[in-house]
Parts: sequence; structure tokens; C-alpha cells
Amino acid sequence: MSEHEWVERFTIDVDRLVKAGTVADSAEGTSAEYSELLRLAQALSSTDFSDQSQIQPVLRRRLLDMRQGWHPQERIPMLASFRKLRLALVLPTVMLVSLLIAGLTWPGGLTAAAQDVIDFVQRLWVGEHTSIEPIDLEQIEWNVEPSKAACSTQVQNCTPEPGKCKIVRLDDRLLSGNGVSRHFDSIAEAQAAISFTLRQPAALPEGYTFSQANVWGLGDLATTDLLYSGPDSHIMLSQSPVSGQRDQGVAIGLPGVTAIATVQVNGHTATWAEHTLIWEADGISYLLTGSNLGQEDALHIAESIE
Amino acid sequence: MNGSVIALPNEQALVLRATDEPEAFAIIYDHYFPRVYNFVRYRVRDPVTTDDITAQVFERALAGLERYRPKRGPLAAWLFGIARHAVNDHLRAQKRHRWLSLDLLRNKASAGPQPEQIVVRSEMREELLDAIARLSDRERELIALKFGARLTNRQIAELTGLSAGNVGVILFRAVRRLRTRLIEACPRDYGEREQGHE
Repeated sequence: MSEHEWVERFTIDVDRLVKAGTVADSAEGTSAEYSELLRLAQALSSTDFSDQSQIQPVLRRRLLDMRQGWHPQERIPMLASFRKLRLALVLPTVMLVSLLIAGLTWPGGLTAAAQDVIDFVQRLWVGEHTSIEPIDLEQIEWNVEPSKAACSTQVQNCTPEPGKCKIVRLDDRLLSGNGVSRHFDSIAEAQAAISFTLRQPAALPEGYTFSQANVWGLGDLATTDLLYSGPDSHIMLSQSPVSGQRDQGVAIGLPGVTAIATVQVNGHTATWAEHTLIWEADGISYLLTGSNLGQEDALHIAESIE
Repeated sequence: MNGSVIALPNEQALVLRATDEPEAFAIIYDHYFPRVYNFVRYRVRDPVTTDDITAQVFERALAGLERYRPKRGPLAAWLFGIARHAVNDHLRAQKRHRWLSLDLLRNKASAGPQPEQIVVRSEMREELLDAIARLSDRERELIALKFGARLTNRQIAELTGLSAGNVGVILFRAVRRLRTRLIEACPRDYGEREQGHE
């Protein structure tokens, strides 16, 4: 059978099992692998996670309370015309009131908001999806949701040392999927855990060997960090697949960095700052860093990636 | 999960009643809650976040129920359109909250491999979620729409803009890939029966 025929059969069988809850004898006369696929489809279809929900009854009560307090048939006719114009009326009103409240309760708020816009505009783009932006470490904790304990802990640990610049990754992908990270002892294992092809440097400074791979996040949002240990420090090569919209790319925060140089990696524009090389090539956003990494070594490593 | 009932009996009449009868809305809620929850869970993994997004979906559905037009499609397609947007909004929004100190990573590296394995593989559903997490975004979304939301390929096609045929191909390949991942993760449980079907 061709793949097209398998797909047609699979579609019919899966629809049947989603409706009936069982595969019955659908796989009869097929291969063992096809039977396995149907069993897996049945497991996917019948596995119910909703018993893990902590809110089902509470949400039900809340929604019903909301519904009980709302009687659409009792609305007066004037409300109908208001509904048509409500966007035009409500939006400017909400904006004005918000500005007023913000100005009164937080005098510096409007200035700060304007600064945020300026910061956004001041982003330095490296390729289509990778950006570098100035970061105020003091503000990081403001931005992290209190419930994200893992993130908060990490943020607290990255207080800048006086007179030293550190790089904090405001990386869209890191710690996504509820902070799930996976650690692997081999590149092959890490490769099996992600959906894009990992690239590796053919050239490393003397004495450096692969030590660990960390995969952060899920699926297309996974970022993979390959760590190489050397005699007295480490080098990390981070790879994040990027595509689609710009705001779904990788943003890298550089707190207090004053010197940023533009260089080339195999014809792609790259940025060098604080022992870190950032560039984007062939749908992958790369970050190469190391506490003792120099620009010449970084470029040599980057250009050897295959 | 009971697979025998996909749509509610007299669903359209129920939706009309639900705009002002809480009991009718409660029936819709009870019927669709597990499907919405499972759809979200297949995409975000975290139960707490799943609860948050599921609540958003039903709140939006309740607020917009009057705008639902049965002629345009079944309630499930409308509801999972809301759910899909809610999940995508969440995935986009969470990206602004991810931080990591590279120095921390360096420290981790110097400390050697981490002994703890975060992903727990003891239960079948955790294994499934883990394997699904390794699929591409598109594959995960289609798996969630097919097996979590229990939509037909045609309904999925309308929501995603793909053709129904393409949905079938992606799903077939995704389930095959999923099987491979599970064999790799648990060869004793999944690998013994491996044979080709060509």
C-alpha cells in the first residue's frame, strides 16, 4: 500500500475509534505497525487529563453565576444602538481613564511606558528573528509572574556584579513548557528529543570537549544548549529554530553593555558583545558564549558549525 | 473518556436556550469541559496553565455565545476556534517571561550532569505528553485538535486553513513519529512488536 492509501485508511479508522471509543477489528489484515499506530491513536483519544483539573466545579459555579446575572431579553432598545457604537465609544474612554489613573497613581509611569516604547524601537536586530535589547535587571523580577517560581529563582541568581556586564537571555524559548528542561549526556540523545537538526562545531579550542546538552522548552519552541568543557572554563552553543512572526523569535537582553561589534559569520551578519557571538542562519538563531571566549576563537568556532 | 458522544443531542436548541438559561449552559459546559481541557493539555502540558486557559475559553464562550451562528458550523468548531486562539495567545505571551542567566548555565556545566530527571516517565500519559512535546508545533496542534478536541479532519482543516487531506497526512506521520519516540523512550514496552508495514 502507498502512504496515501495508509493515510486514507488511518483517517477512517481514527474517526471510527474517536466516535466509538474502540478500534474493534479495524487493523485486521494489516501490519503489526499499523495495529500499533491504531492502538496509539486509541490511547491518545481515550486518555483523559481532565481529572487533573483543580477548577472544574469552581469554574462551573462561577460561569453559572455570571449567566444568572445576565438577562439579555431585558435589555432596553437603547442598548442595542450602544452595542453598535460601543467600540468607538468605549476604547477612547478606557484609554483616557487609564492614562488619568496611571498618571495619578504612578507619576513616573507614563514616562516609564514611553521609555519602554523607545527601548522596543532601540532593539538591535540580528537577522529576521533574533534581537538584542537593553535590559534593566531590576525590572526582570517585575516582569516575571510570581507563580513562575523556577524563573524567579533563576532571576534572583543573576544579580550583576559591580563593574561587570552579564548577559541575561530574555529568550522566548527558554524554560517554556512550565520550565521543563531536559539534560542529556550525548548529542544523539538530545537530537532525539527535538524536532530540528542540531548543528555542531567542527573546530573547538584545544582541550574543549562536549560535556552536556540541555533542551529547554517543547517542540518547535525548544532551545538546545550544547556545553563544551575546557581546561578552565566552558563554552556554550545555543540553537533555537526560528520562523514565522518576528515577535516569536529570540530576544537577548544585554544589561549595561556598551560595546557591540558587528561581524560576519559565513556571510551572515553577527553581533559580538561580552564574550558572546549572536547570529542567525538557515532558520536557526545561534548564541555562542563562554566566560573566556575571545572574538577570534568565537568566529573560528562559529564558521566551523555544520 | 467516553468516545460515543461527539455532539450533544439537540445542541443547537441547547445553545439558543443557554443564552438565558444557566441550566442549558451547564449541560454544554459539562459536555465540553474534558475535551477543551484535553485539547489545551496536549498543547501546554502544565496542569495549572491548562486550568487557566480552559477557564478563559469558557469565559470567552459564555460572553460570545450570542454571536455564535449554528449555520456557520457546529458548536465544537466554534468553541475550539476560541480554544485555539487562547492557547496561541498564551504561547505568544509567555515568551516575554522567559529569562535565564548564562552564568547559571556555566555553573551547571561545571557541576557536571544533573542527576535529577525532570520528566517523569512512570505513567503512560506522562510518556505520551513527553513524546508529544517533541513533535513540531503544527503536529502537536493537530494531535490536540484530533484527539483532545475530537474534531473531524474537515473541522480541523477549517480551523487551521490546511486541506483535509493535508491534515490526514500530517496526523498519520505525527502518530508514526510519536510511536518512534515512545519506542526510543521505552523499548521494552513499545519496541518488541516493531515491524514495517510496507
